[in-house]
Order: sequence, then structure tokens, then C-alpha cells
Amino acid sequence: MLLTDHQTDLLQAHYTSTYVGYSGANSLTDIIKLSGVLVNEDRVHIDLFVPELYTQTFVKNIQENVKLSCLFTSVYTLETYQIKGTYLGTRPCTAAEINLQKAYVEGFGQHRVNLGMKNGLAFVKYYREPGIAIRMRAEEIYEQTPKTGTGKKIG
Amino acid sequence: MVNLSKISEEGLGSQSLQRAFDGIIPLVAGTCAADGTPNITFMSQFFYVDEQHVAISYQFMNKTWRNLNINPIFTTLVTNPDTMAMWKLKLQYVEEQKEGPIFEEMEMQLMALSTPENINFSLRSAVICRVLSIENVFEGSEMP
Repeated sequence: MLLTDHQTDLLQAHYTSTYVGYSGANSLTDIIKLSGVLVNEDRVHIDLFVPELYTQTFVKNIQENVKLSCLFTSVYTLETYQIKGTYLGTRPCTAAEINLQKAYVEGFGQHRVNLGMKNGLAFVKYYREPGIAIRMRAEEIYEQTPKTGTGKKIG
Repeated sequence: MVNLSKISEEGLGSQSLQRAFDGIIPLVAGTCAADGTPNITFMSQFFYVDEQHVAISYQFMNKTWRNLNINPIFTTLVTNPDTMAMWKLKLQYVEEQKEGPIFEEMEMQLMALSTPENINFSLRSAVICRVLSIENVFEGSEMP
């Protein structure tokens, strides 16, 4: 599947809240809030950025199960999608990716302030170095905006 | 990680965590399908039941519901909107309630969130869950 322009823009926007989900052999899904996302030009491969500090269970689980899910939503409209796909690898973040994450956490925090959360910029401290990039191949996408009938596979 | 025996004093009973249940920042729930595929979704309401139980709102979670009936232990991520602190709660699905005081209270709270032009917040049931563990993921910071 290919991500559309709209899905790509939403996934990378600073007003978008993003998460990755992964399960181990024990069938327990864990969740990490992401500190940034970058969609490859091919619209199939996605780099999910996260501080290494939050990846303890990820390192163990991904050796047992390579299936990943990425959830993303606009904090203003709640327009939401979930991408399901396959883990391809991890690597340290580049300098450009570190800057991308710093810009994201500050931008995201500011959008929370705009929504009336006076301390929204506290989210900036969520970002810690070192960060890692998790590469994922997108295979399916589902609409998950909270409304009746949601959950439909759209790609 | 907070032990179950200490949840009442350090976890569910804490004002900071209960503030994260208010739904201002929707909670994220992660479940697992029979084939190992993770499914993550937002839920609008998290309701304190007692020292060892919470209820989540069943509104639009068809896949989540199917997964819970296969793998009843799942993870939720909640955020305090004042401090941005985040916790992971490991929960075990216990039962579904379609009536009674917990359901009615949750339904009333959801109706308060609804607006004509907004999302439909009608409640199908209250999903009662036992809290297995609580982990503070991000400490956030106090209001300036």
C-alpha cells in the first residue's frame, strides 16, 4: 500500500499525536509515544523516532514478533488512522533526525498549549537522547476516527 | 513499576493519575489479535471503579473488543493534561456492563462531552478491568 499525500502530511505534522504498538510472544501489546515520524519518498517505508529510554520492552518483543502498528491522530479534529505493517530494523538517529524530533516535541507541546493545556510545553522533556529510528513497512491502513462504523480498512 | 498491593496508595489513588483519567487527552489502548498483530486505538474515557479496578468506555472498538476476548490482558497509556506525565497501566478484562451505576455515570460523562457537530459519544458498555500494574513512563513537570 502507498500512503496518500494527506495521510503523509498528517502523520508528519506537529499537531499529530503518534504511537507505535508491538506485541511479544506473550501476546501482550505495548505502546510507545513517538517523538517524530518521517515517511520515505516511496510512501511505503516509515521511520518512527523514539528516545531509546522508552524502548526496553520493544527490544525484547521485536525479536519475537515483527508486526507493528502505528496510530496517528490530529489533536484538533481527532481524524485518526492506524497503519499496520512489518518491522525492518533499528538504527541510531542522524543529526537531522534529532533536529526533526526536537522541532516536533516543541511544536506538539505548543499545539497542546493552543488547546488550553497551559503546561503543554512540558512535553518537550519527553525527548531524550540517544534516539533510535525504527523502520517499518506499511502494509495496511485503517480509518480510526472516533465515529460509528470506524475501523474500516482503507488501504 | 508499582506492585498491585501498593496501587491504592501510589497508583490509582494518586490525584495526578486520576487527573489523567478525565479524558482531556484520550487514552491509548493496545491489544493483540490471535495472529500476534498489535492493535492500538484511542478511547475517550477511563473511569476509576475501586482500588484495583477501572472501567473503559466501549464505543467504537470492534477490533479491540475481539482482541480482548482472545487476549484479555492489555496495555493502556494515559496522560495527565496538567503535567504531561504519562503512565502505562497493564489491565485484565473482567466483564462488560451495559447497565448499573458505573455504566450510567460513564454515559452521563460522555454525553457531557458530545456536541451536535462533534463526535458521537454514545456508550455501548462499560468494560471493567482489573489493574495488574502501573508504570510511570514520563514524569512530566509541574505547572510553572
